[in-house]
Amino acid sequence: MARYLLKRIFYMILTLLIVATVTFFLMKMMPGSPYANEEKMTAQQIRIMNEQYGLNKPIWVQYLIYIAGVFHGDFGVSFQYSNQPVSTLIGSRLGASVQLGLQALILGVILGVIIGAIAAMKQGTWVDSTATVISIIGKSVPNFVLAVLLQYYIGLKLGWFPIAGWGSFSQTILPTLALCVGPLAETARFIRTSMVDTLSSDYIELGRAKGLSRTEVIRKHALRNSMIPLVTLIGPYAVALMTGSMVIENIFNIPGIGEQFVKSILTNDYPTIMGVTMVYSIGLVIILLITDIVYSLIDPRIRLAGSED
Amino acid sequence: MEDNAKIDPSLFQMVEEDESRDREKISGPSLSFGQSVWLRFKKRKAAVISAIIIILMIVVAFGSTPIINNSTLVKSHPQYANLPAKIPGMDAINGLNGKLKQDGKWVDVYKQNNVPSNKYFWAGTDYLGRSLGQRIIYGTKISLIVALVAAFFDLTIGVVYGIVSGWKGGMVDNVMQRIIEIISSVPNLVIVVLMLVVLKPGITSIILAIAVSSWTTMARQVRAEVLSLKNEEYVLASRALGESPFKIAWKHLIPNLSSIIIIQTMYTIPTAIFFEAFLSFIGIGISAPETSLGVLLNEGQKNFQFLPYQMWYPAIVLCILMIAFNLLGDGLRDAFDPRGER
Amino acid sequence: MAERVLDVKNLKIDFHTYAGEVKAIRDVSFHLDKGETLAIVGESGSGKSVTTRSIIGLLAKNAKIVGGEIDFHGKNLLDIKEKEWQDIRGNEIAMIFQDPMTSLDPTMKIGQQIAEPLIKHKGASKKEAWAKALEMMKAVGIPNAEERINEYPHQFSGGMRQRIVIAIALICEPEILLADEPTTALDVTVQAEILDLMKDLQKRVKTSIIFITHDLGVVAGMADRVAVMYAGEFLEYGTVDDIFYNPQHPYTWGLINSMPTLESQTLESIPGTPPDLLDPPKGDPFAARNKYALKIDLEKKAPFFKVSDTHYASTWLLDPRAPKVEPPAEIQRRWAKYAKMKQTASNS
Repeated sequence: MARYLLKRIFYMILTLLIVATVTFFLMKMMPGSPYANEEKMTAQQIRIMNEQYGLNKPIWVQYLIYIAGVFHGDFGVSFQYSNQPVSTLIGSRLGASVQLGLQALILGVILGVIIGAIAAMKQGTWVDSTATVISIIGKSVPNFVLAVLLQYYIGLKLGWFPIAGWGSFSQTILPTLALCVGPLAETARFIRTSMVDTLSSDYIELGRAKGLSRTEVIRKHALRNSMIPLVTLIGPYAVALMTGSMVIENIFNIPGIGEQFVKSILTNDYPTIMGVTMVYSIGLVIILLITDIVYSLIDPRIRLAGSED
Repeated sequence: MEDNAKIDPSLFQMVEEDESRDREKISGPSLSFGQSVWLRFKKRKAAVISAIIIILMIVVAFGSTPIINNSTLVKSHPQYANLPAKIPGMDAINGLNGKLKQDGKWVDVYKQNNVPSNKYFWAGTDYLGRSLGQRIIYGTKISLIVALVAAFFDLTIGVVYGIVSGWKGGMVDNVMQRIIEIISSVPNLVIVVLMLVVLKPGITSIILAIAVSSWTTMARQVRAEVLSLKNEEYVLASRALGESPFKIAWKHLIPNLSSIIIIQTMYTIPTAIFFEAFLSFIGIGISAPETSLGVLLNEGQKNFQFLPYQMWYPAIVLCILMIAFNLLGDGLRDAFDPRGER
Repeated sequence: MAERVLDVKNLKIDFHTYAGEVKAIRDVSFHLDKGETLAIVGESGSGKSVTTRSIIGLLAKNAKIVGGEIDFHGKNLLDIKEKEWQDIRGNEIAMIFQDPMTSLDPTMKIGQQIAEPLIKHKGASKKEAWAKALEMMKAVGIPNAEERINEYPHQFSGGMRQRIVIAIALICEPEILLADEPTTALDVTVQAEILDLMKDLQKRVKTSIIFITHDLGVVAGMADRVAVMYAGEFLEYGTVDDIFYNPQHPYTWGLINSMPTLESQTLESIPGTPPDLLDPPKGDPFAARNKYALKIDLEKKAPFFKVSDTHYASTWLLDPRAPKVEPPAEIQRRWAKYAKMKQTASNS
C-alpha cells in the first residue's frame, strides 16, 4: 500500500511537472506582449516592467523560477489585475466553484442512483423506458442550453429562484440544477447497466435460493455491488464539472474559477490561464488518487498492490 | 398401455441408416456475426430512427453547400432583422406565421417592418436579417465536420496507439500507458483551451484541439481488447506461422476490434459536437461572422428574453443531433453486444 | 417403504422465446425419498437444471408451467405464493449452484453470507448465527475457520468456495438439497473431496439430495438412484446398479460407452445433437441419433417398461414384438456382470 502510494504520488508530481512545463512554454510562445497597453509605454517603462516581472532573464531561468513557484503555490502575477498574485485571484474564487461542483455532484449522483436502480428493477417496463429517455436527454442536452432555459423560465418567468449572482443558497439552486444533469444522466445509465448485470449474477440467485425476498436481495447484495464501481466515475465527473463550471458560472454570473478562466482566455491573461490550468490538473490528479484509495477501501477485491493494470 | 397392443407390428423394425441420418440436419439457419448484429440493430427502433435522422441531417447539411455558403451568410439585410419564423400555409399557428409575442400580444412583425408578403423565413432571421434557417443548416454542417474529423483522428491515432501499445506489451506498453495516464490527468477542456489560446481560434484549431484530447479513451479500450486478443489461439497460430504483425493486425485484430471501435467512435462524435458548441458558446471557439451551432446559441442567448426563437431553433437542432448520435451509439452497442439485451 | 419427501408428477414447462415456445420439460415424473440421493443425468439443455429450478421456485421469468404437480408435504409447490416460497427456500429446500467462483457476493464477508439464511429463517441473533456459521465452516472442512470467517470470497480457492456454498445451503438443515452440477467447475481432485463432503454431511443432516450432472462418472459413488434425462424427458431410471450394469435404453448405453473406464480402450461418442425443443420430435427424442432406432420410435414415445421393481426404461426395445438387438460390447460385459451380481445375491 505504502509503495503503491509513493509510486502514485511520484507519477502525480511528474504529471504536474509536465503540465506546468508544457503550459509554460506554450504561453512563452504566444505572440504579443503581456501588457495591456504596451503601445503607450516607453521603452524605459517596458524595461522596468520586464525587470519587475522577471521577464528580462533568460527563458530557462524564468522556467525554473516558475516551476519553483508552482510548488509553493505561487503562480506569478496576473497581467490583468495589476499586481494581484494569481494564487490570490484563484484562491478567492475556489470556494464558489467547489461548492457548486459538490452540490451538483451530490444531487446528480443521488438522483442518478435512484433513477438507475428503479429502472433496473423494473427492467423492460415503461418505468425503465422513461428512465432511459431521461438519461439520454440529460446526456444529450448541453448544460449551457439547459442553464439558459432554467434561468429564463424558472428564474425570470416563474421567479422561483434568483436568476444570477452568488451568496445566498437560493442563488445556487439553478446553477446546481443545470450542472447536475450531466452526472445524473451518466449515473443513471451506469447504475442501470451495472444493476441489471448484478441482478443476473449467480450470487443474487443464491440470495434468492437462501429465501431472501427480491427487495432483501437488492438491498443486501445488489445495491452495494452495483454502486461500488460508481467510484470510478468520480474522475470523469470532476472533469465534467470543471468544464461545466466554465459556462455555468458565466451564465449565472458566479465568481468562480471557471468564470475567471474564460475571462483570462478572452483577455490573454497568461499567468492566470496557466494558474487555473495547474489548479484544474492538481485537483484532478488528487481526485483520481483519492478515488483509487476509496475504491480499494470499499471493494475488498481491489488491493493497491502494484502497477499491473 | 392397451393401445400399445394395436401398434402395427411392422413398425418394430430397425430404421434404415440413411433414414435416420437425414434427421440429423441442423435446424434453423446459422447467421454470420454481421447478419446477427444487423438483425439486432434493426430491432432497436430508436437507433434506426436516429440513424435516419443523422443521414437526413448529413444530406441536408452537405447538400446545401452550393446554395448556402459563407459569403451568402455574411451579407446582412437590416430590413429583415429579427423576423420570427414564417412558413407558407402555417398562418394559423402563432410563432410560425410571422407573428411574435410582444408585451403579451401576438404582433405580425413582417407587416410591422413592411416585409414583402411573399417573403418567407422558415426559421426567422437574426439581428442582421440573415436567414436563421440557412445559418442553422450551415452551422450543422460545421458541427458535423468537426465531429467527423474528430472521429477520424479518434480512429487513426486512438486505434493505432491502442494496437501498438497492446501488441508490443512490456516496456513499450508501460511507457505508452503512462503517457495516456498523464494526458488524461489534465482535463480535456484545459488541453483544448490551451491549444485554442496558442492557435488562432477557428474550425481548424477546434478540430485539432478536440482530436488531440479525445483519442485516449479509444486507445485504452483498443489496448485492453488487443491484450486479450493477443492470446487467442488463432492469433497465436498466425504468429507462430510467422505472419507479419501488420497482416495480423489487419486480418485478425481489426475485425475483432470493429465493434469497440465503432461504438467508441459513436460516442466521440457527440462529445466533439458538444465541445464545438460549448467553446463557441463561451466565445473562444468559432466566432462571428463565422457560423456554427455554438455561435448561433451564443447570439441567440443574448436576445433570449425577447426573441426566444433565435436560441430555441439552434438549440433544438443541436439537441436532436446529440440525442440521435447517443441513441445510435447505444443501439450499436446493444447490437454488437447481445449480453446487454434489454 | 421409505418416506417420500417430494413427488413430481407430469411436470411440463415451456419457455417463451422470440422464436416460439421451447418445450423444455415435457412430462417428467419422479419422486425423492428421505435421505436418498437421486442423480439426474443428461446433456446440457436436457432440462435437468430447469427441473431443479422449478422445485425451488426460481425459474426464469419467461418460463411457463404448463402442467403437472410438485408435491412437497402435501403442498403443490407449483401453486404456492412468493411469500411461502421465501419460507421454503434456503430453509426446507436449498440449492448449490454450478460455479462457486460467481455464486458468492464478492463484497460481503463469508461469515455473513453463511449466517444469512439462519437469520432469515430461524430468527437467530447475529451472534448465534455467526457462531453457527463458524461451526458450519468447520463442518465443511475450512481450515482456520476462526480467521477466515472474516474474509471475502476472492480470498478462497474454487474448492473452498464450493464448501462455503455447501455450508450456506446446509446451515438450516434443509430436507432437500438441490445440487446443480456442484463439481463441474472444479478440478478433478477437488471434485472428489466435495463429493465426499456432501455424502458425509448428508448423513449428518439427513437431507435428501437431487444431484444434477452431465457426468455419469460422478454419479456412481454418489447417488442411490439415477434418472437419465434427454430433451426434456426421462428415458430411464433405476438404482445405480440398474443403470450402470443393466442399462436398457440405447441413450444410456451411449452415455456409459462414452465414459472412460479402466478397461475401455477407446472412447465412444454419441453422434449428432439433441433435437430442437421448439419443435420436439413426436416419438422417442433420441431416435434421430439412435443406431438402434425402430420405426415405431419415430412415431410414438415408448411407455416406461418395468425392468425390475426399481428400474424402468422408456424404449420400444423392451416390447416383446421388438427385434433382438446386440448392444455395444461394453454394455454386454456389464450385463454379464449384472447377471453374476444377481446370482451371488440370490445365492447368499
